[in-house]
Amino acid sequence: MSQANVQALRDLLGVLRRGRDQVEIINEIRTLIANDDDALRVFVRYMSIEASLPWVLKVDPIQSTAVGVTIRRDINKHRRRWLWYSTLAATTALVICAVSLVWYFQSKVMIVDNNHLVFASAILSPNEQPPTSSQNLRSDDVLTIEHGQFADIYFGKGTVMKAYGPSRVRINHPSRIQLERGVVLVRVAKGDEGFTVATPGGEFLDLGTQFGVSVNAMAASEVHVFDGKVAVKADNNAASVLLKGEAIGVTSNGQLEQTKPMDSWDFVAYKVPISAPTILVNAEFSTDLPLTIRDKEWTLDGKVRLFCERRAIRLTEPITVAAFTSGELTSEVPNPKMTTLPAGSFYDVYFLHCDSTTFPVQGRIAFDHPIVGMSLNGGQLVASDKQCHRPEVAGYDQNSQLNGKRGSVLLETQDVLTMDPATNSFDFTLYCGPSLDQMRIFVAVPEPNL
Amino acid sequence: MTSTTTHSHETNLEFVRLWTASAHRIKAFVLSMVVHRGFADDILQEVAATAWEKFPDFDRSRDFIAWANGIARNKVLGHKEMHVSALNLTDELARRIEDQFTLDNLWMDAQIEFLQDCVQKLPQDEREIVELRYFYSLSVDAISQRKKLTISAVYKALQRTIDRLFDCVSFKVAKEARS
Repeated sequence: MSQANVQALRDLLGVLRRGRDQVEIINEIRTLIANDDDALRVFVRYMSIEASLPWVLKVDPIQSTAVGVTIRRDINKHRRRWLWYSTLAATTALVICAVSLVWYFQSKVMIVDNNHLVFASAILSPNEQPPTSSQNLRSDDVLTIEHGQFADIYFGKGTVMKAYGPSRVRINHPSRIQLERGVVLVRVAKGDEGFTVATPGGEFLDLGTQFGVSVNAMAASEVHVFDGKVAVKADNNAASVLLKGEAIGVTSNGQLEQTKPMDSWDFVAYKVPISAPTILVNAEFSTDLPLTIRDKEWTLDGKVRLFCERRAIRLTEPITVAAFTSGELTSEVPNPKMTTLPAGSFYDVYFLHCDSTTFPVQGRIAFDHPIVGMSLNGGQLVASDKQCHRPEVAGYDQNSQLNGKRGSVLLETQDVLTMDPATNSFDFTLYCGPSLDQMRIFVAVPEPNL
Repeated sequence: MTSTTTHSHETNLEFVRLWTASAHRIKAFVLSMVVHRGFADDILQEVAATAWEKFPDFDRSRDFIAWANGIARNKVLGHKEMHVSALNLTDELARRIEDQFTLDNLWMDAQIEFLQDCVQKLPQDEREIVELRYFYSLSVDAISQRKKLTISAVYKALQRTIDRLFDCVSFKVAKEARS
């Protein structure tokens, strides 16, 4: 390999680090390393160096002032090895401690004491009136809290949990609950450390704290730590300890995501009792197929799946969406009217997803509050979904840069939406293919008084 | 909550020990195949999960890194939603990269040691920038604010430093090979 090629590869890697012209640069790198073994070797060494740097910097080699070149080299080598192995041993010990801690608390919470179990549960009205009824709960009781309602649950040692509808909570024993759906906030009493909230993909163990856990309709869960610490253990056995102000997600199949800053809006979304969940009861499908309504998911004979999730958001940036005006919205409409929703404004956003089928699904959805705009697309709505604090619906989308901050409207599709602002409703005919399978519906709601 | 895999305490410890000692090498391999550091981290997590799951079936007579790299290769090639900046390798090129890593593994311990030496010899400013970027994972923008440099100057410093480390390590490897 010529020196010129080495330099070319270095320059390409430099440009790549700047994040410019990624596709072109990567193509050039691929061509270089595919056709030149030396280039491949250089490339692999560069990658090895970049990957090893965090470890090398972590080891932080000694600042030696030893005298004598030969002796210094040997001593340094010995010390470096010692330091390297010590660091490895320390890291291993830390991991073992964390795992042991999780096991310890897990075994601790497995002690069921029915004599001290529980306590009072009160399903409250949407207006947060004082409890009108209470009942004692026992192991394996299941609480189903409807949308707009919430329940305060007091545990024997003084721990308090608030569950917001729609939620489904199973009481395992006095220090452990299973959150199958919805959102709970937990304030753990002193002495009740180890209180556990289990979700479909993992477990969240209190280490003396206040925290919130949510499980969405796809069984993905998140914990947000308001105070203290929480140990997280995913079903794949990955574990982490979160501190105040941190959050982490666990997928439905038990994969631990990366720690991120806490987002209190996730919990606010379920604290707004004003906006009624009429999307559930008013959805009608003109089909003869047997229709099963299960929570926020409709299944038609196992062939069509309509999924909807509601989230309350405050826009941090303006977003442009299709205006909700009278008439039809189809791909035949060349320039649909768009509207820009200002930053700082507050909405309920309904994330609707239709899984594919070979026939159209028709129906009608109505809301209690005015629809102010819609964003429609096949695939993923990366840009707008990020603004709606729901980035998890987006993955790696090469078109995200094209979408920018503009919500999409119908592309090449036979789908038809007939909008009726007078009744805050729209009729839909969806083919649920790649043409359109995602809708975001922005509904104006009063700002919550938090 | 269910878990499909059961591990004994000894198996847990063995896996933690092997993974801790090998993670940087496996990450290097993944990075070579996808280039993008963030995406490489995502893949590495998936590799860790799969390796953990399959660890009870791991043949202890085999090299752990080669085994984990095999998992990583399949993860990368089988990834449906490839990051825009990933290399999008052919099977053949992925195999060649893997072979190169297998060869390089013989030198990896020495390379780590050489790299430590080389990092020590960096000018203070360059070393700080590399630490901020690679150890603390700060964005270039954040580094530029902290160091009161332009973004372009930070990128140039990073490139110059990585090139310098590459030259330094290559020199030491060649010298060691000759001796």
